[in-house]
Amino acid sequence: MDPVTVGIVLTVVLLVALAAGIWVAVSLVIVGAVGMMMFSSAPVGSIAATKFWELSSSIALTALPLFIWMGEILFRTQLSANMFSGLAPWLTRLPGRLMHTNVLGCGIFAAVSGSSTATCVTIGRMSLPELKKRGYDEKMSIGSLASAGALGLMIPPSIIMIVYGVAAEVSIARLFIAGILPGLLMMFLFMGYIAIMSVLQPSRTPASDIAMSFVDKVRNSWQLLPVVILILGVIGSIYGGLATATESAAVGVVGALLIAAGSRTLTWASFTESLMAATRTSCMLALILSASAFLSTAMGFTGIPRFLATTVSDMQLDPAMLLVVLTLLFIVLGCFLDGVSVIVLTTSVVMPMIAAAGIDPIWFGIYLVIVVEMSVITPPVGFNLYVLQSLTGRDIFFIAAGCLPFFLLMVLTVVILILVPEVATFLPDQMYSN
Amino acid sequence: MRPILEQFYRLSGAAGALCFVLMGLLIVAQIVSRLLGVYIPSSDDIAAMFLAAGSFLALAYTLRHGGHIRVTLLLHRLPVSLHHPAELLCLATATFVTGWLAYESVWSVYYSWFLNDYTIGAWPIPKWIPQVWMAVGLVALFIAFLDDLVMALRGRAPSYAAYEHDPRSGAGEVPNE
Repeated sequence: MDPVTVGIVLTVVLLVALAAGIWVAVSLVIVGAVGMMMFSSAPVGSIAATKFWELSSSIALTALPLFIWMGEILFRTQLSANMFSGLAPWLTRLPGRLMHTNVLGCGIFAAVSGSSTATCVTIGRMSLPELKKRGYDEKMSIGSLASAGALGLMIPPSIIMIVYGVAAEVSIARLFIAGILPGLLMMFLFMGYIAIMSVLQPSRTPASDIAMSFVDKVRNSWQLLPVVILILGVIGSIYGGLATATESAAVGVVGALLIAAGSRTLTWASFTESLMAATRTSCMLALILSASAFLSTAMGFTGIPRFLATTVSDMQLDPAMLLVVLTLLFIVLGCFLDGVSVIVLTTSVVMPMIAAAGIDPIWFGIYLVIVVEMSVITPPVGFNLYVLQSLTGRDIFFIAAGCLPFFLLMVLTVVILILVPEVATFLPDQMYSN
Repeated sequence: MRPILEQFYRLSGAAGALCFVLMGLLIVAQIVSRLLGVYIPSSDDIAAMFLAAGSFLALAYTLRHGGHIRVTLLLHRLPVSLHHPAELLCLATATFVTGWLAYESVWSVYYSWFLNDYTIGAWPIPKWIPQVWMAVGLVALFIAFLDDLVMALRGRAPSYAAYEHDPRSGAGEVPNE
């Protein structure tokens, strides 16, 4: 059977299994097993057991539960409650004023959380009522909130980047560092847009109602400071080559526990809750990643990735063209799957194509994270749109309209990333040469 | 039978969490000892073994708490009369697949023992010692799926149903993942 038929059969099997509500990891195993049994005589079972073992005992993956745990501990501190009150006093002088709390708050929170959906809910619950009460433009506050969740996924430590790094066998430390500049670029674009719009339409930004002395401002936000220091410490130790991703994650957990103890939110109950929540998320991700490792091997037996890779190189396909096609694919998948699932599903087939087209896998990881996050705010079925719908009571079109300018700014970020790949590759290259 | 199973799932979660904590402590010990100029041999490999053991041991517990993700978009849109048959189909498939994985992993541990395989690294140990926890964890996951399948056949709601909510319905908390 030729790879095209194989590919179609397996895609149908996958879509049916996923749509039926079968667990993502189980669906991946089914597709891998069907592919191997139909198109090779290799021992499916022992290969599955071997791949499961190899992936779940890989050293690179040890960073995953620790970073998740760090996020869970911080999640149970006063962090989200302090975010608005801590950031607001500093932003009153910027054009756009408190609207920026969404961008910065999401940036900080998502850096430790790793899920843009959880970030939207946590920050939105605090900031949306505050902004509404003061008379800020609702459309823009919703749009900036939905989109800023994605921003945080670029800022290390990022769970989704660990998943990509493990699935695509790329250095997690370099991925983290590669995300810094694109993350800052996106933050700059979002905040710049908010500032420009408030200058153009002054009526949409209410007057400042916060008058605080410098000392009061510091007092108000001092509880945010340890978290910011922790994030900077994690990034800095990786960039400086002082620690591996795993070691910085362990330090992150210790730091998060100290922060929780310092803010008197560390109890035996909150400790075990955070640990068990981290255990569940890590187990879920480890099972999906194990299944995707088996799927990758099985795909190798079917010859589909090889076929696609040679097609790409034979057609002399322009990398930009390939990226456009892949972007459309990811956006469609993002309509009904979360970011992690999209990544584990596609890496086995996509990575050989990327290599054939001569695209840097580190750069591609950054690109992929942005595109996947674009997909969760794309109507009609973007995930974050629904979350905000339930949070605000507004209909989906109102929310999508609010997201649109930010969506376009993300497209702009992707375009910049394609035209100037150094935005993602410059820092990791520096790290490499040191 | 029910209390024994519930205890078993709790144990699954506790054992997994303990492995992750031990892994974290080992990595912290590695950092501290390096600062002191001492080298712990094979600590990376041992940390990875704790990771694997933890990841597999807590699988059953994770299922009971709705931790394993799936696409419920269509499932929740089905007519109510089809909810139960669809859930049965999912559970039967998952029970079969995890049963197969458990069976294969038990065999792979047996082969590691039979062939006297050792791990590679500065401090090699028999490979079946870390691997056996994969088999135990997958067998536990199979038992958890089978348990829910039997419950569903008796017409009860599966254990994870309480934790699964449709974000479109607007209710409930979104977990921090």
